[in-house]
Amino acid sequence: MSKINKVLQNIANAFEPNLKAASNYYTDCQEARGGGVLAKQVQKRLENKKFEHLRFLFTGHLGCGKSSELLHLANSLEKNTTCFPVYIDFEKYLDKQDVSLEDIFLGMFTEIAYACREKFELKSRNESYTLIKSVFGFLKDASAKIEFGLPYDIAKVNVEKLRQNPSLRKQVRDAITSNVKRSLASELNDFITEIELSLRQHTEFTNLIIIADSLEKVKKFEGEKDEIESQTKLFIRHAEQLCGIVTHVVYTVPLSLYRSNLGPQLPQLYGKNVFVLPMVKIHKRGNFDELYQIGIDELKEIITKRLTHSGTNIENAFTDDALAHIIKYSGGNIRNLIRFIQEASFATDELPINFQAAREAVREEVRGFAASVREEYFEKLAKLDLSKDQQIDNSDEDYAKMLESTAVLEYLNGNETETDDDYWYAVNPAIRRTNKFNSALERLKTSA
Amino acid sequence: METKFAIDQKDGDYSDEKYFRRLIRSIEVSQKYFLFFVACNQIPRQNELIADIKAELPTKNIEVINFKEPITDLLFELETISGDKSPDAIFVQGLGSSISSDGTGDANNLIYALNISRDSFNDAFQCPIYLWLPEYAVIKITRNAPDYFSVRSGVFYFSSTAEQVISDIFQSTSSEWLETSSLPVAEKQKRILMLESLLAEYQGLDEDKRDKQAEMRLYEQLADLFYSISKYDKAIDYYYKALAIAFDLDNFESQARYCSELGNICNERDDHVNAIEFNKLALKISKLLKNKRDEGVHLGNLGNSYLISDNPKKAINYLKRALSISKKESDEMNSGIWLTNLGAAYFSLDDYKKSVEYYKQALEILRKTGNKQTEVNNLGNLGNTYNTLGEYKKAIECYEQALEISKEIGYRQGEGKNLGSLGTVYHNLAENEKAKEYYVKAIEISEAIESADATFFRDALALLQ
Repeated sequence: MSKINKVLQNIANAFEPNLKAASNYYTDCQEARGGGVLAKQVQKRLENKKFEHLRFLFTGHLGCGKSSELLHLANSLEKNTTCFPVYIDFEKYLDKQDVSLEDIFLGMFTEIAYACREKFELKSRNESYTLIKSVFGFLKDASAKIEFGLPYDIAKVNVEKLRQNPSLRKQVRDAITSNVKRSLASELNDFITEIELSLRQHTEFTNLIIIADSLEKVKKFEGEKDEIESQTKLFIRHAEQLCGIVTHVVYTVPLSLYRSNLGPQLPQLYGKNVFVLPMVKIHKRGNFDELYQIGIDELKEIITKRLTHSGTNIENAFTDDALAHIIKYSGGNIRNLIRFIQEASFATDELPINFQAAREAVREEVRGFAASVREEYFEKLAKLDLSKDQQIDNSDEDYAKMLESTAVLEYLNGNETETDDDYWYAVNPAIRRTNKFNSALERLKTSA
Repeated sequence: METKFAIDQKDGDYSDEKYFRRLIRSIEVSQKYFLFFVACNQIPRQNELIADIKAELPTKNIEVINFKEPITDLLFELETISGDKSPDAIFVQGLGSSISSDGTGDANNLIYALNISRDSFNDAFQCPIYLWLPEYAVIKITRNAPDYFSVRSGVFYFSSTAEQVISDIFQSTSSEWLETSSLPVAEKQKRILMLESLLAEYQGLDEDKRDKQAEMRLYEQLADLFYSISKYDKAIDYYYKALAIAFDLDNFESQARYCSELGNICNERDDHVNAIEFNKLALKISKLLKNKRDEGVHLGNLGNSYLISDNPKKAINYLKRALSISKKESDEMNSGIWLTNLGAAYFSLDDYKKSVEYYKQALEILRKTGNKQTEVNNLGNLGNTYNTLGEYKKAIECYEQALEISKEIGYRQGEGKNLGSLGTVYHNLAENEKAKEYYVKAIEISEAIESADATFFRDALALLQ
């Protein structure tokens, strides 16, 4: 393989859209995403409220880098505070099409037990977790080979397996809910209290903080058929249960719910600590062609970090126009940015990656949107584009769907303005290149 | 010319060659698991491409897995099949049949399972996986599993050759496909998606490679499907497009048919003025063609339009002409329909005797054709007329017969309706206890099948008590 091909191969394998950013790839994009930097803010608020259990809500677009931010949060909390972070990717525990509160609590129980044992060799000495014991029994029955070793240290792998086994899941749920004397939530809380006590005795940590990632991806909850209904039920109607956990928790919630007309209830229920991770702002509000250099530089930093071991640097990897094109059409969505670069590296056998290759990569995105965006949405998209304030109607479920599919992107003016709540919306730049969007735009302009 | 995928021209043309090169490179370059989609509608074309790819990369070990049956859990199936082998890439074909056309909720749904095991692919495989799918299925995944789709590393699109597209259109609009009315809705929607993606491909062909006949059939089939799921706007749109081509091609039969369908849709939408116009046009064309049978049908439809638009006298005029043709042509099915409608027309003129006469004739013919459901409806109509005439005994006889047949053929709606009608007659006869009994049974059935009749019967029952 030639040297150029080797470099291209390195690029293709470093820009992986399907994985969270490892810590060496993490880049803080605070300037272009607004001042509310998650890690710093969470840290600050934890320090101010020593005796209260805090709830944080975290939300943002698909692929905007939520999980990377949360991993970063976990790292910095572990380094800088006395709260021991337990990061839980609920995608491992939940069948998104069939979720119950029990599943969530069971995931927390398992992951806390696992993390505390791995890190500090802490284990529970308490024998009174009746429900957990019974779940334990089920799992043992189901797969006799598994050895459980320590008491109550539920083998993580086995609880994770519930996700793919609806009938076993049902048995477990039934076992939990049929016991009227005990509730899983209170056992979880007893467990947390016990663990925190041993944390204080044996480590420098005083509290736990649970970071519950991927909960925003729940599609169906406790028998609700509709996605929006399900999310409302989980995050709003069951807020009391979610807030009832006796330690600090960060929950991820769907952006479409937070931006709906039910959204304002969330800070009321969970306390005011809501963080939104918008897109990295790369153009000015209401003007797609007027670039925002700070945001662009931050995206370049992300690219630079990923190029570290590829045998090249950003100047030699891309022609200027290719890089500009990729950044512009990423819309500040990190996952798209990463995918565009990977796709561009497939589209050429030359270095630097040229404009033609960049255009081909972006084109697939355009093509995907042209085919998949529902016909009736194009007019709404055009309307947003022509609007003076770049706002969306939060009672219109179509916009919620478009936020979810990233047809509409959310930005924050950030450091440019004083307020923390200066959100605005823009049409995904890839959609701007579709004929359907442009003709909807023309229609609206002529009819106005 | 419409661009192939309605994307800005400045993004250049799409050549299979480019996608092919990129696909090759992606295999050469990928050192771990990445997810790719290959959108290609035709299986023969897929096989051709796969053979070309293998020829291009002789040193690469590409494992092709082709599912003949629908599957639910791709991860599990792949792990089972690929076992300990460690190929450089895995191609998966035959997933089209596993992707259902409705949402993601169905347990037997591949997309749903893909979502569940999304992360596990990362752990289970060290090579890229390519899912070969028809384009509609790719769109399906984009819409219903955006989070899953967003972690893809690329989509490669391959078009089909012009001959393939045209022959595909003819195949998917051939006569065994045409009978769509009895398909379940989900199946219809699936077919619509398939045909629309075919249409998109067709529209990407150069002018000189197009085939107007094929295009017209495609529009016609789409229009029929949309009509059958009551999406009238879309249906009208496609019938118009088909009609335009039928005019270009001087295809009078098709012109008449589209006009007639447009007339029917207008009727459904209570747009009687246009319905009448379309039916008149259809009638004119079939007269030109000297096609008596069709002429009869259009006369009858025109009569129906007048009947619905509350013009029973005109309706009777046309229906009688239609009837005389259908009788001459020994077209019993249509004769039955026209007779029924004549019965209805006289009923609305308050001429109950004539109404009874036509309903009886209709009944006789319908019994011969063996269409039990229409027979039930007709018996109901006849019963209603007797009921209005105060001939309760006869009315009861009709309803009871209708009830019996309904039970026999499992026609629940007919069962509910006729039970309710019996309630009404006994109510009229002041036999309130009997009336109550029937109403209660009628309500029970109507509620079970969620029929709007339930409310009506409940009101009637309340009136009794």
